[in-house]
Amino acid sequence: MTTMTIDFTLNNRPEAFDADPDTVLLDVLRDTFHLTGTKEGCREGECGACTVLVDGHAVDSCIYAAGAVAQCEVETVEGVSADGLTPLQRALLAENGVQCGFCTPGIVMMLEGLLRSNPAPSEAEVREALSGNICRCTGYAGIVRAVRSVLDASADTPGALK
Amino acid sequence: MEFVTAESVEHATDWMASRGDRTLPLAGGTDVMVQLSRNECSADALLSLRKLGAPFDAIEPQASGDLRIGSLMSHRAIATDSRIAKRFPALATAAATVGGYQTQAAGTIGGNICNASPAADLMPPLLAYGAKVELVRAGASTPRTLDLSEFVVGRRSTQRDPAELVSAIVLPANGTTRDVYLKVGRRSATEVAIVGLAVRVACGEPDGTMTDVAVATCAVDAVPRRVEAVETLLRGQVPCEALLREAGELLSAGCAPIDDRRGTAAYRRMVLRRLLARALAECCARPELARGFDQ
Repeated sequence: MTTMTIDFTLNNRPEAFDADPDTVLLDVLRDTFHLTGTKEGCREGECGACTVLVDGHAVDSCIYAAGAVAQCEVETVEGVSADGLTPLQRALLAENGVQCGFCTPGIVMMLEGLLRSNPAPSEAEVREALSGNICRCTGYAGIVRAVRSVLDASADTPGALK
Repeated sequence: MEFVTAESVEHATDWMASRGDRTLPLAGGTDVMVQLSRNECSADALLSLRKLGAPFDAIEPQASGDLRIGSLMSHRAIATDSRIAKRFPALATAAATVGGYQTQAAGTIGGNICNASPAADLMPPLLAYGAKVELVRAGASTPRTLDLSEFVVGRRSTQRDPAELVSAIVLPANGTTRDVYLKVGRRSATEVAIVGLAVRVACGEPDGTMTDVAVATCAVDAVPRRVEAVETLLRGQVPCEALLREAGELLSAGCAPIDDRRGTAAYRRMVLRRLLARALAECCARPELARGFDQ
C-alpha cells in the first residue's frame, strides 16, 4: 500500500491526512480527526447514518473514497453546529424528531444540504430527500414536523412546507 | 495499491494504456469501495476520474438529435436534467431510484454500466432506448462505439478493454414514445431491484396499435437485457388483456431469476408478469388493462 497524503478543508479549516489508498472518508473523520458525530450504520451506503457534505453535496462517507476529497470542502455535523445548535437541530429536539439519536447526525447533514439548495421544499421533497436515511425509531413524523417548524419560523417562507 | 487522481483525459488514458490491467477506474465509487472493503476485487491502483473534462462531464445534445451523456454524469444530475426528463423519461426515473440522494450524488452512469450488476437500474431504460457506449484509449483519435447490449456481457463483466475508459453513453434520437421504468423492492428507496423493467411503446392512431415496442429487464437474469421475443409478440398489436397475459407469461418463462436474500425466483417471475401489464397499460394510456392482474 502506498500511503496517500490528502489536503482538504474540514469544517472550514484547512487540514491534511495520510491514509491507505482504499480508506473511506468515514474512517478518516472518526479515527484520524476524532469527529465521532458521523456514525457507521451499515458500511455499505444503505442507511445514511454516515452522511456528510462534500462540496455541498450530501454523500455516504462510508463508501466515499478518502482520496477523492483532495481540495474539497467536507462538512460534518460538528461543523454545522460549531456555533451552537442550529434552528433545525433545536426543532428536531422540540418536535420529538430524535429518539435514540443514531441516525440524527446523518439526517441533520442531509437536511442541511437540502435546505441550502432548496430553501422552501415541499413535504414530498423533504421525505424524498430523507429516503436515504433510515430511522428505526421516530417514523419520520417528528423529523418532518421539525423541518416544517423551521420553515414556518423563517420570515421568508411562512407555512412553506406544503 | 496506490491512489491516483487523473488530471486530464490524456493523463487517464496514458495511465490506462500501461497500467489498465491492474487499475480500477474510480468514478463515484459507490460500488467499488464496497467491493474493495469486502475483498471482492483488488488492484494495484485506484484511478480517480473525477477531474476529467469533456466529453466525460457533460450532457451534450448532438446535431443529429442524439443525446450524448458523459460517463461521469451523476445519477442525480441525470434524474433532474430537463432534456432527459422530456425525451428519455424512463432513464430519469431509473436514476432517481438508485439508492438514496447520497448514492445518486456520487454514483455515475458510467459506473453503473461498467460495474455491470445484474440489477443495474440504468441498464433497462438504456437498453430500451438503444443506447451506445463510447470508449476512449490513448492513441485512438476517435472513440470506439458499440451497442450497450453488446457491452455488458455478464455479471460484473464488460467488453471494456483494460486500456479503455467509457467516456460517454449516446442515446439515439427516438420518435414519440411513452416510456416507463418500474422497480420492485422491499422499500421505496436505498434498495437494490428485486425486479426492474423498462418498457417503451410507440402507439399509432387511431386504434392504439403498438407500432414499436422495447422491453428490457434487470435483476431477473445474469445480465440486464432486451427481451426480443416479447417485443416481437407485441409489435403491431392492439393491446388487450389477453395479449398482456400472453406477453407476461412469455416474459416470465423466458427469464432465469435466482433465489437470493431479496426474493425467490418464483416471486420474481410472478411479479414480472404483473409488472409488464402495468408498464404496457401505462405506456398505452389504458390503465384499465392492468386491473385484471392485481390478484
